Amino acid sequence: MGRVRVTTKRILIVDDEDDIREVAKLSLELMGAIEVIPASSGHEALEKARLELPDAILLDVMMPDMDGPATFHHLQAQAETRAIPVVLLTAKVQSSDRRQFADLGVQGVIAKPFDPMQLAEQVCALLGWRA
Amino acid sequence: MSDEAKQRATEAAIAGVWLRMRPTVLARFTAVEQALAAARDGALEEGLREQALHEAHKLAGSLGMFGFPEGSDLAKELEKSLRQGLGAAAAARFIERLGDLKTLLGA
Repeated sequence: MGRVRVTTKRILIVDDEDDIREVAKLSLELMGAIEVIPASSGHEALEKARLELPDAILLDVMMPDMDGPATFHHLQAQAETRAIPVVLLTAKVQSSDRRQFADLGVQGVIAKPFDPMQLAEQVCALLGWRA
Repeated sequence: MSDEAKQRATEAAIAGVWLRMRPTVLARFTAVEQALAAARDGALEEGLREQALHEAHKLAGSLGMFGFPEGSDLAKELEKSLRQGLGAAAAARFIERLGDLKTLLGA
């Protein structure tokens, strides 16, 4: 009998708020069976993205020091991380904000506050992963 | 694990996070309340306004995620008012509504 190889997706979650990072992690792990790598700043995200090479990155927009768009630009500038799809997490959900984020070249945008029961499904839909 | 079991496990885990994080979330009310009291008395300074704006933004995200949509909506409304300018009467109304919200959150 052949063996079935199950490949777990790995996602890097970047948010400076502990509670949001923790709930997103639980939600993706339990509802989506996605392995989560947490990061609490843009700087930490750049380092972990380079070392861990996750399948995708869920990136908060509003963070101190290096915000989401700046982190995204740095990820794009690094050869190792350029191809990793990025989904932004933001409370800025007006159509002008969404257009601005889409112009950056991200894979999608998820509105904050997010519903923990829906997060895995939203992420999988945006990334084309089977939930 | 069935979808229903996954959902129950996730809800239980998130309820645990809420219990642990509640003091941190409630602490975010402090700067907001100080700013509202100052605005009510006509003495809101820029530093405090910015701090309250920051905390209101965080409250909007956290409360919605933990299942308190009315709290999240109030925090968003407050954030908008702090950005646009907050008069004494509006500040007094927010103080009252914030008190109700804190009761709901078990503060």
